[in-house]
This record gives sequence, C-alpha cells and structure tokens, in this order.
Amino acid sequence: MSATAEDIARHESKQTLHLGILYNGIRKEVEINRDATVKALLDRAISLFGNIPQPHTLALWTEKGVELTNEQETLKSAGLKDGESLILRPSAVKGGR
Amino acid sequence: MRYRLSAALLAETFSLFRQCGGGRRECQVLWTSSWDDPSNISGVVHPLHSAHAGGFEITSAWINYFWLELARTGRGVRAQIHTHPQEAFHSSTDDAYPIIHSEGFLSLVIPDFGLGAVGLDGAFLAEIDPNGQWQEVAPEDRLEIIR
Repeated sequence: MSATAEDIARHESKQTLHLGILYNGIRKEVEINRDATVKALLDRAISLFGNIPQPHTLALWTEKGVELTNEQETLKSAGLKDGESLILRPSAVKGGR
Repeated sequence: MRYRLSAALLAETFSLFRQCGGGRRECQVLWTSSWDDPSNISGVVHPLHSAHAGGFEITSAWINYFWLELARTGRGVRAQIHTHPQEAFHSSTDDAYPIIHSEGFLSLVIPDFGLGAVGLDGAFLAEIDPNGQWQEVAPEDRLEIIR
C-alpha cells in the first residue's frame, strides 16, 4: 500500500517543531525539523533578530534554565517539544575594570 | 537612537549603586523601556549579581528569569550601566560580555562607584556599531535627562 498525500503531510507535520525564540523581550516563531541540529536552530534563531554583530556569544536555553550546549545534537535528542519557547541569551554577562 | 529618561530614574540608578556597592564593589543596573515606545526609558532593573572591587557578574539563572519577564511585559533592555572604582572607561571585559549584543545597544560606565554627584560628569558611554564593535559616543548625543 502506498502512502497518500495526507499520510505524507501528517508524517512531515510530526517531524516539524514549532518553537518560540525569546530575545530582549521579543518573541519570534520558528519551524524546524526535529532532526536538525542545535547549531542549525541557533543560526536560525540569531537570523530572526536581524543584525547581531557577534552571534557566537549567544546560546539557546530552555525556559527551565538548561543551556543547549551540544551544538551537534539533534533537537529530538535534546528533548525539545513542539510549542516550546527557548531563550536566546549570552552565556555570561559581566564587567569590570 | 536618542533616549529620554527622567532625572528621578537617574537618581534611582545612583541610589542603587550606593546601596549595593557601598563604595567598595562594582554594581550594574539595566535601563528598560516598552517596545511600544522604546526611546522613553521607564524602568531601572537591578540584576542579581556577584561583585567585588574590580568587577561583577550577573547570576545566570536570573538572566533566564529576566528574559521571560521582558517577553511577558513587552519590554527591552536599552542600556547597561555599571560602576568603576575610579575612572570610567570600557574595559575588555565590558566589551566582551554585555547583556545585549545588538547594534545600537548602550553601555554607560559611572566613575567612583557612583559616589559622586548624580549626573553624567565623568561618565563613559559606548555603543555597539554595525560591525559589533564598541564605539565611544557623547552621552548627550544618546541620552536626554528630563528634569
């Protein structure tokens, strides 16, 4: 039996994550495949917010405060869920003489 | 962008520096405004941080909390303000670890742990340029204090 267009659409829908990205008080939405890497999501997230001149200083964190440190990990294995919001922020904020 | 902030908000900023730093430790606050009216600074936020005479670091868990709060209230950070023990300048640490990395973000450094007169005399203001580099800018070109 061959898969119908509806079956394929359902399968692709299950493969897609709809995530919210928060940066400096703004929330933007991103759709991305569950098999994409954390690095791919990070790049997409940074591009959503226009000109961020030093993007390598930013990382993604879950709302529960866990940093997604393994950039080669897939979103599925990182445990991300459809509809989840992620925080785009610097890993460290400090200053001094 | 040129931001407007009240003299009362500037006074609150200095008051926080004096209470928290006690003339012995650096301290940082953040100026925020609504995304509906970004040029009108209307909030002073005092982050949870560790500090000593030569520096400070914001608590990581607090940043997560703050990011969620900004999104919930529709506000954004426009400037970070922190003290130095003596002369105000932008150090390499200040350059490398700001809370916001976007073009136009401001970083204001206040001398003498903020123990001097409330105002911008002796202060150093830097701004992120389109290439991600910090450039010194005149405080009066970016900040208007409303009496």
